[in-house]
Amino acid sequence: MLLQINNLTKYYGKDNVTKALDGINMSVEKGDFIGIMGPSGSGKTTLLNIIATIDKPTSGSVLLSGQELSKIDEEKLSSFRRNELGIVFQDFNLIDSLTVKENLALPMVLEKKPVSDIENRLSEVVRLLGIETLLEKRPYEISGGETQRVAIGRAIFNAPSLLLADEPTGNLDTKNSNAVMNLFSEINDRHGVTTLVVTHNPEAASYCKKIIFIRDGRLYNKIERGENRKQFFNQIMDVLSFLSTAQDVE
Amino acid sequence: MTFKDIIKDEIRGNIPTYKEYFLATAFSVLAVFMTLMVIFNPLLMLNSLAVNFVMATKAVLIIICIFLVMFIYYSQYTFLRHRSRDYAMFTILGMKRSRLTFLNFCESATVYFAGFMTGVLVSLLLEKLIFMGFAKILDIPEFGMYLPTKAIIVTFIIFAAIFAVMQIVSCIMLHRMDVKKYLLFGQKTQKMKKINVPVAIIGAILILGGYYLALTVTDNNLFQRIIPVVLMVVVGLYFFYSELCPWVFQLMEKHKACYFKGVNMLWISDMRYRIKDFTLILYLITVTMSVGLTGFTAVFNVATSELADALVPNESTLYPIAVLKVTPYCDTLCTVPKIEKLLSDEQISYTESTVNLYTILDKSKALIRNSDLKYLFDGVNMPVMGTADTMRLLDSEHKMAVHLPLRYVYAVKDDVINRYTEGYDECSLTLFEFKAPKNLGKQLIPINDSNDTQQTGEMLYSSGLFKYFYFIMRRTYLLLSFYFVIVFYVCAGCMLYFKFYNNATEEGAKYLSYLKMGLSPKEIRKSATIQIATLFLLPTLMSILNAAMAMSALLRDGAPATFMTNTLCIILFTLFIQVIYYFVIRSGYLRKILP
Ligand SMILES: Nc1ncnc2c1ncn2[C@@H]1O[C@H](COP(=O)(O)OP(=O)(O)O)[C@@H](O)[C@H]1O
Ligand SMILES: [Mg+2]
Repeated sequence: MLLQINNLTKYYGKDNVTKALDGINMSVEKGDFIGIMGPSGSGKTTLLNIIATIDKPTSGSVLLSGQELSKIDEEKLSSFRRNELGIVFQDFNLIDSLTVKENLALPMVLEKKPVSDIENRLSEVVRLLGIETLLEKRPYEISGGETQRVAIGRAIFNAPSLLLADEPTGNLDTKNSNAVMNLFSEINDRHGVTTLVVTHNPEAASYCKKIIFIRDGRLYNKIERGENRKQFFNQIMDVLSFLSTAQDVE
Repeated sequence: MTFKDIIKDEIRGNIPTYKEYFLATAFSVLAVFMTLMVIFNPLLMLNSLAVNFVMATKAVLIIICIFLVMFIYYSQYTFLRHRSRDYAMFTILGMKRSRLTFLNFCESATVYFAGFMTGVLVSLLLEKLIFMGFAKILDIPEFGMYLPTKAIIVTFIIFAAIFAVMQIVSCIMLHRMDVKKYLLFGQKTQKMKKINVPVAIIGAILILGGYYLALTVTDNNLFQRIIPVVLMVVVGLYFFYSELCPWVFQLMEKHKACYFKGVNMLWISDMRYRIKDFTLILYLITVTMSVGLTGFTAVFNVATSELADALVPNESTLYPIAVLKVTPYCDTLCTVPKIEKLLSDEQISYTESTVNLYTILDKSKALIRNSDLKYLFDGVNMPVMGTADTMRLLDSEHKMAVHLPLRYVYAVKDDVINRYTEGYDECSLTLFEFKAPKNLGKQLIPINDSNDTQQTGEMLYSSGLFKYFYFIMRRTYLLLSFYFVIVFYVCAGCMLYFKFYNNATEEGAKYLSYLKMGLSPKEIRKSATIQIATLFLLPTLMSILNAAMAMSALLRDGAPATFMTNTLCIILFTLFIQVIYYFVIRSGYLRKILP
């Protein structure tokens, strides 16, 4: 068991009126590729941020490889985040003043690794992403799809045990979106990187192996993919339509 | 919801932008107005003997004003750039460009006027405060008590002119605005500008050449070199910030082992961007501080040195007080009885003698009876003629006998005068003889002030008073040097604050995303601290260097030793102030970017 979440809650506002997360229990095995879906405002980002140690839960626990996240002290937290987690956001993933190459290498540079090690890892990651021609460019000179590829590259640069992504395809067109999801599944398949992806795009979600649906901060449903992606896509659509009618009835 | 409501909401949401613009305006007004108040102050006793000195001071002040005007122009421009995105949105919503221009005019006029008024009011207050405070400390009369109408008018004209120019510029900008650019890409990313290496090298050569010329200056070529050296350094400094500094950071990026280590990569690459962004502001600050610091050091040195002492006549006259009454028709004697009262109040025993003088032509020449001369100045040599503005009667010990603004005094045989008195204006000269106390000049001030020469036709002459005027003049320079150093430091500080405050909002979003990328708050703080320190220290060090070069050109050999220590003290003091200010800004900035 890589990630174990027990009875996780996150309340916001005065008297905790907003229950962003309301008793989430889930576990993630090593090598999983999980999609998290749900309507807007259902708590997906909150959940991901708590796993990413960017946010703190109101109650409950999150264990990564048996280690309780909320117990890691502030000083070690960023080092932990850098080495154990890789995070990709919808936007603002890259630093404008750095080249693509420097952006990729950033996690290892911050760890003060020797330059030769950095160069070695760099050539590995670049080969994996297929972005050889972009290396000397700056973030404003590359497309949105390329930006996300680089962001994924940086997220896996330190070989994290868990890769997290919050709507990584939110700003992309279908073609680029599919390419990015393909990259996630390739990384998951070939390198066994455990991945959690938040998305509300059913087609993007169909690349995952499992999907968790949440609504109003609670787990609503969970489905697993068979061999066929098309079939999985239809399955997702079914759950989503249920999800929205259930909401309508309410 | 009407369009008006949208605009109202939008204005409310933009208060921070207005605030920056307001502050920038208020501080520029403050600096310009405070400078002008001194230039136009009629009460400041800047003696005519120091006329070159006064002119130099005014020239420096005018330079400062020009640079401040550049700053206000810059803040106007920044304001417009900030607002452009919203204006683009209004255009999409269907607002006509002409209305947009009107909206922009109303907005900026309101904020600008508010800033102007605040600046003027705060300056008036600050000026009174500084002058009163320092006048107390320095033991001189206060000069602040006048309504600076002229200064207000000139300030108003300057700022109205800038505003008019800016309105024209913004009109053009708004009409040319490419709406798509703002909406498609949101926040415009700053592109990495190409560095012009030859210009960077030229900048370095100009600065170093200027320094070399300043260091090797001699008495003979001092005046020929001033303008070329100032020009070289002023131009070189711009290239220094715009090309040389980014180039240095670019070279640092090439050094892999250093660059690819921890936060170095972050701050070096960031600095390369930001130094370009900061170019104008750093340049303005450096020039303002260089001029201010040089002026302060020079004025302070002169005001406190023996050179200034040499200007003061330190002989005491045989007759410490002389009253010359030029209009013989006025019977009401005012000054003489007041002096008599003062002397008896102070229990000083004195002898008083009155003789007649006969002025001729333009009243710069006078005749005196030989017998009177004998009577007054027993054993006096013949009058020295045509030396200065004063009659210097020297007694046998070559002491000055009396101080009078008469160019020539001729001693004439008694019977000659008796025969021709009708053709001359008769004046009386009353002389008081006593042992003068040290503070005589200060005690005579009220008598001198209350004496209206036009009405009474009386003139009071006293070497003690004269000395006291010199004393006040020197103290006034000291006061002015403090006044300006305060204004300059406040202004330079405010420009930096303005820029940092302006940046912190954008930087905040950036650092927040850094945090999510896995940077620790400690690393972010470190990177930000290095950057703030660099941006802070660069102008400070450059201006200190400039001031040191200017001082070394002015001092050369033969300057009193106190100059060196004074200059060093002032430099250390400046560093001290800057460091304190740096810590203030840094803590505010860090709190803003990492709440
Ligand atoms: N910082 C916050 N303060 C208050 N409420 C918040 C905050 N962040 C999120 N919420 C609330 O928590 C709920 C879940 O938000 P979020 O996790 O962002 O949803 P999702 O990512 O699924 O759209 C929403 O109702 C949102 O309004
Ligand atoms: Mg979200």
